[in-house]
Amino acid sequence: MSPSAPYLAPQAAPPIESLEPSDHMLMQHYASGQVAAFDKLYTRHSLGVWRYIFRSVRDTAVTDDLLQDVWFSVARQAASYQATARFKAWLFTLAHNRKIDYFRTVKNHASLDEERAGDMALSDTLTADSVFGPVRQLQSREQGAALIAAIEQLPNGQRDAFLLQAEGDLSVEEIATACGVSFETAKSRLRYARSRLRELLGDFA
Amino acid sequence: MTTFHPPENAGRADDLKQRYLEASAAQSIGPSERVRRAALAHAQMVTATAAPALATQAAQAKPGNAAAANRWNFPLVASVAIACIGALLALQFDRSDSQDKDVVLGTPSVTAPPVTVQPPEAQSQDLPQKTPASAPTTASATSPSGPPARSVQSAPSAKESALSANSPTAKMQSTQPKAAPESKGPTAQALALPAPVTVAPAAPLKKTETDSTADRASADRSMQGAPPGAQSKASSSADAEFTAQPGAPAASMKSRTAPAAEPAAPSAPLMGTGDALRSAARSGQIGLLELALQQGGAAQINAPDKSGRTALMLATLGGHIGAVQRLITAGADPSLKDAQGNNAVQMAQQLGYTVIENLLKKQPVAQ
Repeated sequence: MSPSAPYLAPQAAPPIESLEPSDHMLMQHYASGQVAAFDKLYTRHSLGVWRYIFRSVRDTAVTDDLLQDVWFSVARQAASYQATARFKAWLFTLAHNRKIDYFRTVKNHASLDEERAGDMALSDTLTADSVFGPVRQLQSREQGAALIAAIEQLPNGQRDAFLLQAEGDLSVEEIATACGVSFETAKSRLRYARSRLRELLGDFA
Repeated sequence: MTTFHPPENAGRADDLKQRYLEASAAQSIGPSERVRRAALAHAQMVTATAAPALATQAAQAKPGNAAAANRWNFPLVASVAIACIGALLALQFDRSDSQDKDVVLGTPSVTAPPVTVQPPEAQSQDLPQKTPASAPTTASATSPSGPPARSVQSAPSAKESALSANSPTAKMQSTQPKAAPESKGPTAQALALPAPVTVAPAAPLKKTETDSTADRASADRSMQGAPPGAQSKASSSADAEFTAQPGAPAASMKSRTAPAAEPAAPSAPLMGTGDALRSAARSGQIGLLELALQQGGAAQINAPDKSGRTALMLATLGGHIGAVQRLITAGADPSLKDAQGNNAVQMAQQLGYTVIENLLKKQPVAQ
């Protein structure tokens, strides 16, 4: 370079912190040995996964254990992770499967919710009878808690579909994949879940 | 990709989602710090465990690692296959009939009259029977045997020689002159016989008949395994046996070690032309078959063995198409029947040898 060449001041590069790496990149970094990437993934998604599990388990200690198992699985499978789907969908699929395993183990989960989509189960009638509980909570300005209570009263399939969409921002296809059901079943569960929530919340929905 | 069509109240559904997220955030609940620490610790452990494994995989993928190279696979498989083929050939040779072995080992053909040793001096009918068995043995034992005798006696397989060297038969033969003083007379006569004269008539036949691969392979194997001194001694003794009684089975060497008890005519052919022809047909060796036909086997081409089987039947049973063709060309009769009443065509039919069956059916068959 000749000394008479004009000096071009370097343009200000965007700060690295502002560039949020994607989940897939973080997984690749962790697979290459960077534990900090795993910490970032955990910080980004642990709360949503925890709440997804907690809405069904309703026990913080058990939820912590299940969440720990989920992230253990993430760490073990990082080397073989393939970006064939969104990381979030894969993560919530792990959480869903771990939750199912837990319920199969403890066997204290009511089988009332094992209905197929579109079928009216006994739990539906029970929740219909208790429709005034959430409404009264709404009326006492605890609308949020009432909504959560209504969600927790949903049948398992419908609650999972709604929570996977709300917490994980999963599409219907991703919900179907995570729950191991068909696309139409997942779509029906979402529709029934919303209808049930509107019914539970009444005019306050 | 199938798209999801939201229902008409999708706006309300999104509202529900938003309200749910707000309500969840207001609950201020979440995973404990214990879970975070445990997950990070597990992640570090997995990373530390996976690092050596990845390093091992990378080392195995290096091109300089000769043991892991795929180019060794083919030579390894080929070597194993060749070794298996050689072992099968040796096994088949061991299981073959004594006549086949004699033919392959190059024992003198029946068409060569002076196979057995005839001393120049006039001897009685009994003496020559002992003489061939003992003469070469003693000759090789007493004399260094020398290169000329060794080269002439190279026909019998060294494997057989090594076997015979270790076998009781060989020991008996080598010790026979000492242990049996009553046979001193013939042995002494044999000692007087010059060794080259004893072996010389059979030498050309051995040279021509020992071209088989199995013989050469077995000879090579035993040449590598046995010490030179013992090998020459063993081969000499084995040569002595085969020269004395080439038509006898190899397994019946003990019977050959007692030649005095067998009043066989010394000049009689030990293996008939028909036997040689049938042996060649049974083994399917075209060269031997041609040799047998040239040496008078054509006249006995339809001669049966003890079971009434002709050379054509034996070649058919062995599935030797070339031998069958050659025998048909030489005039073998496919209509002859064995002791069980089957002719060659029926044998080919029973065994499913369609090619041979078609070859035989071209010939007139007397049913």
